[in-house]
Amino acid sequence: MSNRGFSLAEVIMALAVAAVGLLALAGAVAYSTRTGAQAARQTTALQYAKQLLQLSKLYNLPKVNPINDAASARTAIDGAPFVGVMQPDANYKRNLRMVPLATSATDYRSQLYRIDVSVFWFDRGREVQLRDSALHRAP
Amino acid sequence: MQQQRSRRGAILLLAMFFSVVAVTGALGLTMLLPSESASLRIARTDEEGSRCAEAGIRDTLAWISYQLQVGNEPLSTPTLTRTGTLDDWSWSVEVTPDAQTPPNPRGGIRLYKLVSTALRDGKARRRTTCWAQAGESLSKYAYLNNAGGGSVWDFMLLPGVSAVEGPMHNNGFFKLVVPSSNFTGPVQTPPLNGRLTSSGAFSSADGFEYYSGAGYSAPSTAGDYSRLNTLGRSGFQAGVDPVAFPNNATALAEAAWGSTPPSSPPAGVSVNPTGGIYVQGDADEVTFSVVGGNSVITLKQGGTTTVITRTSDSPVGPAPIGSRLVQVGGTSTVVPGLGSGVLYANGDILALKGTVRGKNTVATNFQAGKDIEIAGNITRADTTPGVTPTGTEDKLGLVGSEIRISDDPSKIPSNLSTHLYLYASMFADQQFLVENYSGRGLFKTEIFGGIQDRQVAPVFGTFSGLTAVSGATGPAGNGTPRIVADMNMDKDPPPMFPSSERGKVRIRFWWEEPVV
Repeated sequence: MSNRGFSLAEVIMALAVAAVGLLALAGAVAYSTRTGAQAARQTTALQYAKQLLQLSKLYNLPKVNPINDAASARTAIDGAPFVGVMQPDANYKRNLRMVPLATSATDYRSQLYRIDVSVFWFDRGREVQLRDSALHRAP
Repeated sequence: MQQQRSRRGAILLLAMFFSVVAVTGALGLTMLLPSESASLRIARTDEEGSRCAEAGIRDTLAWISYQLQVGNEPLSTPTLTRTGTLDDWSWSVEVTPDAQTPPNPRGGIRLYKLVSTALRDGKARRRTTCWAQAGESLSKYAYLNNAGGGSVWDFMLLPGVSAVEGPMHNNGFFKLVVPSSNFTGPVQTPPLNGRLTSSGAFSSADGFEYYSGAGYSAPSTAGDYSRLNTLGRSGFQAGVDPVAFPNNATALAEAAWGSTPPSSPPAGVSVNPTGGIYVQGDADEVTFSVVGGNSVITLKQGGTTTVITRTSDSPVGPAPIGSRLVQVGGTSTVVPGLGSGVLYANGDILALKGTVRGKNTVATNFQAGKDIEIAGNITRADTTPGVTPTGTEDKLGLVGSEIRISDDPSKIPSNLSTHLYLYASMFADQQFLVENYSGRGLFKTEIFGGIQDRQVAPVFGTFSGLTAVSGATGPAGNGTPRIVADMNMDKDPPPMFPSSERGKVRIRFWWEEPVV
């Protein structure tokens, strides 16, 4: 009967070999899930930044109603004037700044505005920021 | 023993096999991660490159616009390169005018090709190509006003009743009267279908002023905007470039005469071989009609009637195709060529109506305050009345100081029960209005073309408090016009119709691509 089973040493050795592989796999899965989630959040933030820039230009906000948030300000991503236009998302906040390139009417750049948008979110308890900028010309 | 040894090896081999599979899987997952973050990095680089290339285009458009505003031709050489930076990117834009810019024989319209390349670390990453147009025909607008923000409200917007379709612009700011019923109850067809732009901005969230009396309100949500305009909130844009208006009708007088008219033109009607029709003094009546496919203009002045047949489709009497037959009393004259299409009177045109064939502009000496009075339907041969025009064969532009819908019951019956159809783009240096708008019979005015006023907004009726429209009362009255732009007027306006030459620059074509 004893010839039909495996010795304890054999089982331990086999388990040890298998454990090396399984641990590596588990680690890789955990790391990949975390990194994938980070990338997904960054992609979402990039989309939000793009949307905010496009809407600001479409509404001609830099000229008509410029938004100049303080550096520490964090506004809801769908906050005014984008209520009902942007999707609400409690995970992300925004900061917008719109500045004319020149104020003198004799400078052609007085038609141009720089728009800076920052999108913020938290990743493992730490605030992360994505910035995007564009030049707007009042149409 | 042999069998036992092989069984012992089997479990180890099995464990090693699973271990190798697991490690391979782990390695595979780990190797995918860099490509995932590389995709994200590429997406960000593309986005930044796109913004940088666009920044070059915007900067160059602002420069071209400014040069035209101050009276400079932007390009004194065939091509020009402009450069700049956006954060750690740089851009380079090559500007090339089209073959006819400048000088441009098409009414002051200029075209430029802009190719903007975004560079990072000295390497080209992204390219945007754009065609920009400076100047535009005023006839493209369903509604254009130069004096917004005054006492007159631009539109009374009644849900499901009044309608303006096409581009609308105000060089001041828009004043809109919107009954609260627009925003409640069952959803109806929005009264606006087109983009409203204004050069000025009222101190409100969107830069537009809304009447605030009881029963009226302003849109506040995306849903409200969608009920007001089929384009929603994106259909309202303040603070855009102004549209320059013409100061005189000299170009139209020259197009009618064929060259600069003499200081004392001969009395009566002159049909000019190299021009159009020049009328010295007032024209009592101008009627358009179509006979045998040809355009016929019957012009009455004093006791004299002049009939001008443009033989575009069939010969008439001694006039072959491609000429004009002029009949005054029993006398006929053949004038070569179909003419410029411009009929100019240096006095008033006291009655205008009929069906137009071909491309026509009827103008008066508007800087001298000469007006045009509409005395009936103005339709076009290629379109059934009431239908939005799609063809480009027939069109009419009107240019006058005031353009009025007559209240003379012998011209337009005061009990007219059907709509009044006006197929025309109408530039009024003062105002477009319905005569006696507060005290006349009911009919709805349907305009297929547009209204361009310099001084005051068009007046169809009045409103007061919760009464939607007083005078021409209710949803069937003059206060509820329907204005539909003829989109072909943008590219193919009526002959010599006023155009905005300076400052206004818009994008006609946009193409983005990565640089490989």
